[in-house]
Amino acid sequence: MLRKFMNSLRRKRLDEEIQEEIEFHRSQSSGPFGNLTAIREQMRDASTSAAFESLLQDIRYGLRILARTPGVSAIAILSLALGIGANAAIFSLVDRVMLSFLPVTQPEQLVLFDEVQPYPRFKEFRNRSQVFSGVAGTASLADVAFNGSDNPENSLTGRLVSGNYFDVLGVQAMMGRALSDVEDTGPGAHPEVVISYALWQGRFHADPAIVGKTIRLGAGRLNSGWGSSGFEQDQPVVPSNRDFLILGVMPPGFFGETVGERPDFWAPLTMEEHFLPGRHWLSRRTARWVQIIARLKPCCSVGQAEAANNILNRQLLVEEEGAGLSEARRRELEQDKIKLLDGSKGFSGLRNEFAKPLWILMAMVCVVLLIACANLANLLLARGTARRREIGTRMALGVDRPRLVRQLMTESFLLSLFGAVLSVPIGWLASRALFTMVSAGDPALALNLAPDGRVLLFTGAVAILTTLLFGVAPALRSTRVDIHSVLKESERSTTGNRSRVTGEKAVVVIQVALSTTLLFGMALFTRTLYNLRTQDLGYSPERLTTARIDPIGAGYKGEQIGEIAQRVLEKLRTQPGIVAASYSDNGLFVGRDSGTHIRVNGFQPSSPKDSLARFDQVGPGYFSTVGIPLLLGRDFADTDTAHAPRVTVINESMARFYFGKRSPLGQTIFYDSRLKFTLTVIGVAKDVRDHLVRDQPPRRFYVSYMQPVDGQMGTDYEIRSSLAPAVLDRQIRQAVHSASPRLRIEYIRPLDKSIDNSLLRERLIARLSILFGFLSLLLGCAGLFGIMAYSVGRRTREIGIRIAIGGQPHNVVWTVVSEALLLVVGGLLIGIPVALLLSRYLQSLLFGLTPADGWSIFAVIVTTGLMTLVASIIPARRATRIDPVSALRCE
Amino acid sequence: MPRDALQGTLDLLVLQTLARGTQHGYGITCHILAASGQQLRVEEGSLYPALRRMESAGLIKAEWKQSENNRRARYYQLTKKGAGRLAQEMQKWEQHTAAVKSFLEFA
Repeated sequence: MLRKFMNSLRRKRLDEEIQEEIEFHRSQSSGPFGNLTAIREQMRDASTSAAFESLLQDIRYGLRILARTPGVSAIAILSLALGIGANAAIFSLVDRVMLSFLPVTQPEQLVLFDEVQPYPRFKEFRNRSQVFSGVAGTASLADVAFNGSDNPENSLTGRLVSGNYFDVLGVQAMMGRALSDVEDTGPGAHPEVVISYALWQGRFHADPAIVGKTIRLGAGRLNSGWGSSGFEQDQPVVPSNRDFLILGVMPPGFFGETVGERPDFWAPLTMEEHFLPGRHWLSRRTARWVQIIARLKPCCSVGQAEAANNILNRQLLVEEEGAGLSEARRRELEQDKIKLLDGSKGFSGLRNEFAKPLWILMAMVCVVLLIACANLANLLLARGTARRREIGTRMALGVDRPRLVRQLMTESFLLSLFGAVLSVPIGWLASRALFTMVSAGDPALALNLAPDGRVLLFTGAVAILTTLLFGVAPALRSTRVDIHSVLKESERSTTGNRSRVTGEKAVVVIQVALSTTLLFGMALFTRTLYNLRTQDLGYSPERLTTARIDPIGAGYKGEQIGEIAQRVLEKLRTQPGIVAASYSDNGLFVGRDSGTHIRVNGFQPSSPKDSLARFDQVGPGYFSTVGIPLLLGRDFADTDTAHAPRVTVINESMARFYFGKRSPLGQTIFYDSRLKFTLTVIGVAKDVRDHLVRDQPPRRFYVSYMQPVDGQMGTDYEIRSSLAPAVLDRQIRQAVHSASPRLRIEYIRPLDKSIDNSLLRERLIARLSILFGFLSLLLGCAGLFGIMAYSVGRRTREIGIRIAIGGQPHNVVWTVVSEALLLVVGGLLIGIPVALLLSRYLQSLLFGLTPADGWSIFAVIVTTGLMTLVASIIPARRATRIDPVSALRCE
Repeated sequence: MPRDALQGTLDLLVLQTLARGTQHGYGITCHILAASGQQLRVEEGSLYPALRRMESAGLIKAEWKQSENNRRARYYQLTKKGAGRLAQEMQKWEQHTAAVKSFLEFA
């Protein structure tokens, strides 16, 4: 069979061979040879496959047809490539983020705890859980100093994992061995790591004798704002570098359980003290930082496991609280439930945040492809009409209809094939650009987006589906011809066969309807982004820069943290060009916030939620630096030292909620966590949006950094200055360095940038919906233009007559434009109700407008109207220039 | 005889010829003519398409080689599959002739 295909492909060579063989025979024998041509034909037919032969014929013919109109073909192929490529790009993100299973054994058995847990509690879960065959803990590290270098470019990302981590995932090392339970014993006792394939290939140049060598690692930071340090800081620490023994290398595809992370190494959780010096999180019961991943026993369902797990969780919590547990506290603990998340596809912050947007974008990009298909269908319909004579002639000569349909479908498949091939690089580049946008946050994410089998398969499937969509109808219609009338018919009949254009017109109406939905989505999302960007925060974010330092990592503890924070502040304030500066524990718009239960005398909470309030620990001059007006009372003063009575400033919402019309000044609030404080209210600050633009400001209170109620995690400086960013950057570094050379700066970032980062999702959707919207406009314009130009062409004679009997140019223009408008109005009448129906599903993604936003509908109508004018004005003007004499004579 | 049977006979002759060793088209006609006592003359118009057909079916394979008189000729060779087919065809032929013979004797 293969041989036959080969022979079909090398046809010329086959003919030559046949000729040579026959000639040899004739040279040997003198007898007659019979009908040479017939024999040659028979030999050729016997050596080739007839079906394949005719397919090849179709392909050759199709290529010739495509090459005959190179411009049109190129546009068709390019629009298909863009459409398919955009689909492949979004799909590859959807696939990597949401559909791909982890590269581990039986991923469907894995579950994730929905909240990070303290290390001691993790150990209890690991030892006492009955429903899991294994419970592993892990935490992500960023900016780990490598080879004693302080250069952040040179740092590594890693993961702290429990010894059974690789066992639970069911993954083995490629070389050497993975960590084991042994490495779980004794804090700091096992300076050992397993490294990633990438690190081995890169920094170690694939050294075959890597196992047993060492890698020098310094301190790093916990990747994510989840941790909370607990209160006491007791032992002094000095970060240091240390040699870690390399136990093994993991296989290439393995990245752990978190999608979007590519750790360079995995070290035992028990080495926490080395990587996160000064935290002592291994023994803290209040520091939540360990992500737990567990493998279900085959007999257990997720529901059963969750129930059993929560019973154990409650037991652990009650044991930790010890005797003397109040009834209220017991009820509170009842509320603390752990949900088990499906772990088969790994853990992904991306997934939670981007699942809905990605599906919406996937839908939008499908619509773009549909519009491109509509264009192609119209192109082919028009081409089919132009080829009526050719097709009629071929049918008259005896070619059967299925053969012709096959021929036309082959042409369509060729278009798709070229489009699909071209779409692969387009899709790859687009998905990378997209991912760069998604991962622009801190820390940067990593996904391998090179097109793999799944993406290629998807591309192929889309291409085939596309071909069927745009190819079948035109192929069927073009071949439904009445041979007699076609052969008799002249190329230009008087008014054209109007009914024959209805197909094309219907396609244009559908196209307009489709692009209406996209444009409506685009209007909603851009307006949402605009509303978010212009939302009044309660202060001006301009000229405000934030910088974060890590005093704990530098070895400061207890009261020293406040002292060094203050020393840096004083240095900052002396720098020229810095108008005002202050600091806070959580900073602004960096995704870090604190909350606690409180009690207020005279306030009866109706649910546990009522006693929740957010808080922050702030430095002197915080309110004036950020620009938060104080409505009542006073700011913190120098007299509010560590040993003075504890005081607090609360926000409006909190004052209203707990004190109503009473003046809150002088009232007391009980900070009611494991540590209990009494705070006296000294002031009321205006409500501001300081962490999320979208949400209403929550109840919030502020305490002085000098009177901390919770351990400080770091110090975030807010600096108001009109200096150029580069200059300011240098001054901040100088100030921090002169206060203490040991202090590490985690980032220096304008507040605007942080706000932008917090709106990443909205920006992504808005940008892409604009892109898709304009793409659909462009395609729609091209489609409408095509049909109008075609229609004017067909009506040349009619228009010529009208001009001859005195029709005015503007009447002619109106004839054409009104025809286009009719189509567009039809499209809008279908499109707008559909768009309104669909937009209800977007509700949760919108801000400051309803899904039936009037302005957006208006914008869609105006844009579509403009598109109609642009697309029909050229054909209309061409119509006015028709010379009546030649139009009538050209019959 | 139906066309199939005729073609089967030609295939049988060709395969049997090639069972003795590789041969080009002209050589095959010569051998069949000689071995049948000048009785069976195979026409080129039947032979060459048949060779092509058998080649496509994998019964024989072809190779360009130098002939005795130093010209390039297409030599055919029996494949394993072809040898199997030859045995089959021979058996069929024998059954067929035996059947015809017994019919004639009965009458």
